Parts: sequence; structure tokens; C-alpha cells
Amino acid sequence: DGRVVEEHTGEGKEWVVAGGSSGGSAVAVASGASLASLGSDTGGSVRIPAAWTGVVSIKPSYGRVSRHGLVPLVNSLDCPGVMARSVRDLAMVLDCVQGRDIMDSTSVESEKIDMGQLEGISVDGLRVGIPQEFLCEGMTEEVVEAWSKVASVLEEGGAKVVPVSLPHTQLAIPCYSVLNPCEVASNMARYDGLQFGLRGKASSSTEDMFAESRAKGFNDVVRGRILAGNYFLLKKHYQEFYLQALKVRRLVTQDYLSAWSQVDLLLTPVTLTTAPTFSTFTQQDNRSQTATQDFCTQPVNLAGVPALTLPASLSSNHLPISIQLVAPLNQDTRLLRVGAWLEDRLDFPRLVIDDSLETEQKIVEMAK
Amino acid sequence: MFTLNFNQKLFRLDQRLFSSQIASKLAQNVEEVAQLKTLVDKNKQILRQTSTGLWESVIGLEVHAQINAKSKLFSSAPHEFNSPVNSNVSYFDASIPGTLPVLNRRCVEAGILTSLALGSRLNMTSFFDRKHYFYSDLPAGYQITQQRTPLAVGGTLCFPVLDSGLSRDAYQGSSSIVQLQLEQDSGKSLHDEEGGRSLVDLNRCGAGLMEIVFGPDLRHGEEAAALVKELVLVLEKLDTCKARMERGELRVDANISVRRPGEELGVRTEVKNLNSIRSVARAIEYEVARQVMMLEQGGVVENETRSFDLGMKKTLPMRDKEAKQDYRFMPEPNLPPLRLVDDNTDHTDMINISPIRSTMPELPAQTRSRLSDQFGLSLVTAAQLVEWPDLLDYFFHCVTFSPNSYKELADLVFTVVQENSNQTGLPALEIKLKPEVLVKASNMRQAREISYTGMQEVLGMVLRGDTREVIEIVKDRDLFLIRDRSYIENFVREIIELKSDMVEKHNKETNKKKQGKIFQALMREVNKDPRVEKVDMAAFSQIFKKMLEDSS
Repeated sequence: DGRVVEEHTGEGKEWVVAGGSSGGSAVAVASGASLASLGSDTGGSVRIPAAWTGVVSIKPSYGRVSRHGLVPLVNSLDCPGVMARSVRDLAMVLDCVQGRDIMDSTSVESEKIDMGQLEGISVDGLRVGIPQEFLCEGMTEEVVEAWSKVASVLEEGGAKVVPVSLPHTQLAIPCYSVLNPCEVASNMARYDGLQFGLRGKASSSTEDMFAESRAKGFNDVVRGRILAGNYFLLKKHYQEFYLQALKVRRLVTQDYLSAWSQVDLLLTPVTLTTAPTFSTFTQQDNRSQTATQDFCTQPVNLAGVPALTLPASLSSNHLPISIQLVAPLNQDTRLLRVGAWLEDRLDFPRLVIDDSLETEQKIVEMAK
Repeated sequence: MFTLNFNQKLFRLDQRLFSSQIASKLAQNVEEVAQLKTLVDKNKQILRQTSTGLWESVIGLEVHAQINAKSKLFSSAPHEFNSPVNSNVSYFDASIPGTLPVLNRRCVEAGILTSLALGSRLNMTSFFDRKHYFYSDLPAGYQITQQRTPLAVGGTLCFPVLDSGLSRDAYQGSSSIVQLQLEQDSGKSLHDEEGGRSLVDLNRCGAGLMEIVFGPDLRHGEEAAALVKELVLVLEKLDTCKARMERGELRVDANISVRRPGEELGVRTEVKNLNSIRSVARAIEYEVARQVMMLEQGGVVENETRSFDLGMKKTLPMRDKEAKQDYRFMPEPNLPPLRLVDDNTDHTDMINISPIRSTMPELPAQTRSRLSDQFGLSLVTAAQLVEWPDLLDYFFHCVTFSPNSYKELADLVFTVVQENSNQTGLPALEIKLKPEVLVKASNMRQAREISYTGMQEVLGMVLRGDTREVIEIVKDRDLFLIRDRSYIENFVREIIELKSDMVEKHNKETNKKKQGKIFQALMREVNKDPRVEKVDMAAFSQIFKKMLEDSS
């Protein structure tokens, strides 16, 4: 994240954050600087900034996009994701980056995305689930309204919208709060200053050099996670924390598996609120931030299933509100199809770039 | 054995040094060890005796064998010996962020073949884990290994224990196998004392290893050395590991403890990185003596890691590796479970055990059995032949030419053939003496057409370049033994006349045993006669006896 001047706030008002961790990517797309961008989504870090900046995003099925070259956070949850200003743009880019890569042993084959599949769609008979547990404390009325509105649009189109239960939803964040530090502690063990990166000046022993490099090179957040992760992974704690977290993850995953016997898609919010101001954002520490805003996005990573976010409406203070569609594993195309159908009907204000010849000539004139 | 050339003498001397007597003699030079006497009880158990009573030493080995593959376990960087420093390092090996492990099929196949040869049970599903610790030769800060569920479990390795000085005849030792797992090797760090720095070479980092963990079944450094020797032979035969210890392709760690017979296992120490068979035996013997000394003096054995200093012939505590490290094991998230199949279908994307099993060669134990059963060779000779594949090959070539005595053949292979092979530096089958010729010469000797010395002469000439048929050389050098009855009888009459008083003594003697001794004395006199070389002494002896009988 960083400080970003949201286009809707205007002069004199406080800055609003874009969210993270792929905030930069989201802003590049939202501001028109880029057609599309890539990010990585471990607990919502592509979908949240996309929701807060009003662009479309997808966290594909785990394994659909290769992680070779992606600096890892949590290997078993990380998914490279795509952001764009329309579902069709998104689909084009996803088609380019998805697929089995022999350099990533966890990547899988995926069927080609045919742009024709995104036309002439009907949602008649589509079964859409509304997970009750996603209506949580801290969620603003406007977000709930946007959620309802989209449900109505789908119903009008012939979809069957029904309530479902994902009973272990609230366990997702505690589970993540164990899995994340453990993998972070492991993945960060390579930063010792020896082969690359910052190297401490201590020369009395290798251990001292390692310790100095790591103390200086990592900030509080990372160091906190490493210490927590190493604590959880100690032999005497392994069963109680890491193994337990794996079991909880299994429970969360099974919630989704059960849901697919009843519905074809899930419809949920993405974030609990619209983008916060910078001061609000900096008041809360990182862990609490995550604990709150990742509520709707984190469980999806644990289950490994794909999710699409779509801007649905603007709040009363002109900030975007998005909704999330979740599909079964490897049904990414279903998300794109329904997403395209919805996008045409939701009428969210979209940035249109005028790259016509006349405008270009005008600009050239003005420059002279 | 005593007509060997210099190189071989050293080799034989080497083996002698394994003997516990000498090992403990060396250990006696160091004050901190007990005076141990090794003995074998009536149940063939090896025990140690000191002034305070009996001790039993318990040893379990862990062997790290570098897999013979073109590239590393999880990266495509080449795996070669003696490459320029840091020239075989992929981004993954250097732990550059964003790189991921990709499993090397050949390494898994090598692990499977080795497991099958050791009689282990393959786990149809096995997993990879991360073992975390910080060290300069481990760039990622963790090693990828198999801790939870290894590739294979169980099995046994049997091995001959020969020439050990353990007051036992050559016997078959055995050790159970706990498991076999695949894991990454680390890089190498060298300490530049002068420059006050450490130098890191990552060429070896990420190379595939098979770690074979044995149960605590050994009782002496000798047995451990014999086990390692056998394992080397097996791995060489399978070609899954080149097993040249001097190149670090096979490294041994020994877990050692002592106890009074019948008691619980004592606290163990681990002696790491033994890189020669000699070190294995010596380090273990020293450590056993050290532990006994500690306990007899009322001290305690600490659960620690030690190294072996070959120069000082002692084990020493390792300073930079703490005994108790929590490795914070965690499943390796970037590798799916390793699943094997075992059937007759053609799987391109799975590893199938069945075709691998069908490539199993004859193992050293089977070859030794075959040499004993088919050719009547002793355990010692069979073991020696198996140990020298070059000579074994030569021996099998000889067999096709119908030798009359396999035993003599084997002896000749270990003397004449090996000696010349060493001298010329040629493989056994390429020396001037070809199997067919050796067999012909040996058969003539067996048939008593020529003497042993005569045979040696023929072989010597062939080795020096004589290309004639054996029979030609024998004729030319007049090596045929005389068997002519009348000639021998004349010879005998001469002797009887010459040594008439001894002959009388012989004939008068009623005690058979004493008579036999006098006969032997007579034969010794006969052997002084130079004509003896040309005579078939077996025939001579027979005729001599008969004629003595007749004369009495």
C-alpha cells in the first residue's frame, strides 16, 4: 500500500489507501496507466485493492497460474492474480499466463479460455449461494446493500439465489494466523546476507553476520512473523499449532466442497468497508487489519478455489464497493462468464481511455 | 600371500590394521580410553572385557550416498566431480527467491532400485519435508528431506566379516535397516584461517543423496567396516552411487553407545563424516573405549556430536554443531506427494516400480553364494573375488574354458593376474596372459604334467610376451614331469641305497605315526636332489612307499 490519491475524493480531502498488498498494481490499472496488471493473492492481496480501487480482479484456482518466479509468502496459499478494467480484458490476460509449468510442481493444466465463451451468456437456472456467515460484524450497510443488489440482478436474470452455510468461515483467519508465520519463517530463512541482499558488517562469526543481516534487513512485521512461525514449528508445539491449523484448513475446504452439491457459485462481499483513509489505516497494526478486512477473502485461499471480484456500486462518498463470486476448483471460466454477464448489467462507472486520433492531435497542439 | 608386490603388500597390511588388537594398541597411546579386550562368547556375541567386567558396544550407522545422476535432486544444474568452484549452481541451488524445486526422476529411480536391493519396503506414497538450520553451506536455511514418510522402510544388509582378528572364523554379519530417504546434499564451506574468512562452494549444494539409516545392530568397529564395504559393493553394482569415499560420494555417521550386557541402551554419541573404511573402524573403536573409560570413572556419556581426527586417532566434540537442535520440520509445500505405482501398464507421468525391479543385477551376496555353490570356493576367496570386479570378470572368463581346479584358478587370479594387472596398470582382461592360456597351464599342472614351478615359468614367459601355445613352451623348456615308472624306480633304488640306515629305521618302526615321520624325513632328503624338479613327485612318493614296503 501507499498513499494514493483516490480519483473520487478530490482536493482538500484526506487521502484514501488502495489496500494491499498488490495496491500498486491496482492503482496502475485504475488510473489508466496500465491495461492490466499482475499481483499475488495469499489472503486477499489482489482482490482487496481491486475492490477498493474499483477494478476487476481474479484470484485463479491454486495451481492454475505458475508460481515460478513469484517471491513466496505462503507457498501453499499464494496465487498470482490478474487485475483489469473489464472482465474481457481480464480473461485475455489470464489466458496468457495460466497453464502447467514444469518449473512449478504444483501447477496444473488448464483449458484455453475462448473469448467467444464470454458472449451470449444466460444465467437462467444458475444456482447462486449466499453464505450466511459472511454477514459479519464491522460490515457496513452499504456493503450489504451492494451484495443484495447484485443478488437481485442475478435473480432477475433467472438465477436461483439461495442461502447456504459455510460454518467454519470464522476459523479461517485464526488458521491463517498460524500457517502464514510458519511458512514465512521458513521462506525467509534464506535471507542471511550470504548469497544476496543486505549483509551485516559483523565479522566475528557467521552466526553474528547472519543475525545482523536479518535484524537490519527485516522490519517489525516480518520479524514478528518469523518469531511466531519458529515458535509454532518447534517440535513440542508442532501438533498443537501447525498440525491443528492444517486440520482446520481441511474443515474450511470441506465447507466449500459441501456447498458445491447445492450451488454452482457463491456470491459474497469482498471487504467489510470501503477504502479507509490513511489515518484510519495507520492506527491499526498489521495483524488486526488483516484479521478484519480479510474476512471474506481469506477462506477462499485456504480452500484453493477461484474467486472473481467485480465493482458493483459506489458508496455515498463515491468510493467503489465490489462483490466476489466464488466457484469450484478449476471452474475459473464459469467465473469469467457470469462476471461478464453481470458487468454488462451492473453499469459501474468505468474509466474509458480516449486514445482516438483527434484527442492525440489536440494534446500535441496543447504541448506546443 | 607373501610373494606380492609392494602395492599389494600395503593393501594386505591395511586390512590387518583393522584388527581390534592393533586398533586398541593405538588407542592405548591416548590416556582417556579404557584398556579393552574383545572376546566372543559361546553365543558368538562380541563383548568387551575390562577389569570391572563385561561391556557391550552398540553401533548403528547412518550412511549418506550421493546419487549417481547427471543433475541434482531438484534442479537441472549438473552434478560433476571437480568442477570449477561455483560453476554448477542453478538459481534454485543458490536459493534465489522465486525458484521452486522440481523432482529429478532418475534420483527417485535410483532410490527405488537401492531399496529393492536392500529388501526394504517401498512406501507407495512418500512426502518431502523442510529441515531448518542456519549454516553457510545451506543457502535456503533449510534442507529438503523426507522425515515423516521416507521412500522406503525396513530391510536388511548381510555382509561377510573376514580377516578381522575377532577370534572368530569368517562369519556373516547383518544389520537391519530403519529407512531409506531422499534428501539434498549441502554445499561445502572451507575456512581460510589466514584470511579470517569462510569460503563457500555450492557445486554440491542440492545434489541428491540417499540416506540409509541402519538399526543399532553392530557390536564392533570391524563389523561396521565390513558393512560399509558390502554397501559400497552393492551400490557400485547397482550403479546408483559411485561410492568412492575418498571423493565424498559415500559418508558414514556412527551412533555409538555402551552398556553392561542385558541392560538398557546407554546414552549415544554420534561420530560424523567418516570418509574412509579405515576411519569407520578406528573411530568406533576409539569411541567405545572412551565411553567405557568415562563410565568406569563414574562420569556420564553426553549425547553429543563428535568428529574423528584421523591424525590424532581420537574422536573430538564438534564445536559448531550443537547436539540438540530443533529443526522445526515442516512439510515442503512446493512438492506434491511422491506416488509410485507397481504394475505392468505403461505410465509416462508416474514412476513405476515394476520395470525398475526387472533391471536388478546379481548382487554381491548372490555372486558369493554362486561362487561357493557352483565352484566350491571358500567364503574368504569368494568375498575377495567379489570385492575385485575386474578379477571376478577374469575368473568367469576362465570358467568357460573348463578348468580342473577352481581353487587353484582363483589363487592364480589373485597372485599372477592381479600382480601383473597392478604392474602394467591394465585391466585384468587386457594383460598378456589370457584366461584360456591360464586355464590350459593350470590344467596341465592339475594333471601333473608339469610342476607348480613349471607352471609359474610358463605363465611368466607368456606375460613377458611369449605368444606360443602352452604346450609348445612346455616342450621347449623341457618342463614335462617325468612319470616314467622305470626311471622313478631307479631313482628310488638310488635313494634306498644311499640312505640305507634311514630306510632300515623306517622299516623296523612298528608305530605308524613314527614311521610316517621317518618317511617325511626321507622325502626331505630326496627333495635336496635337483632331479626332483623334473619328477612327478606324487608318483615318486607312491612308488617310494611301495618299494619301501617291498624291501622290508
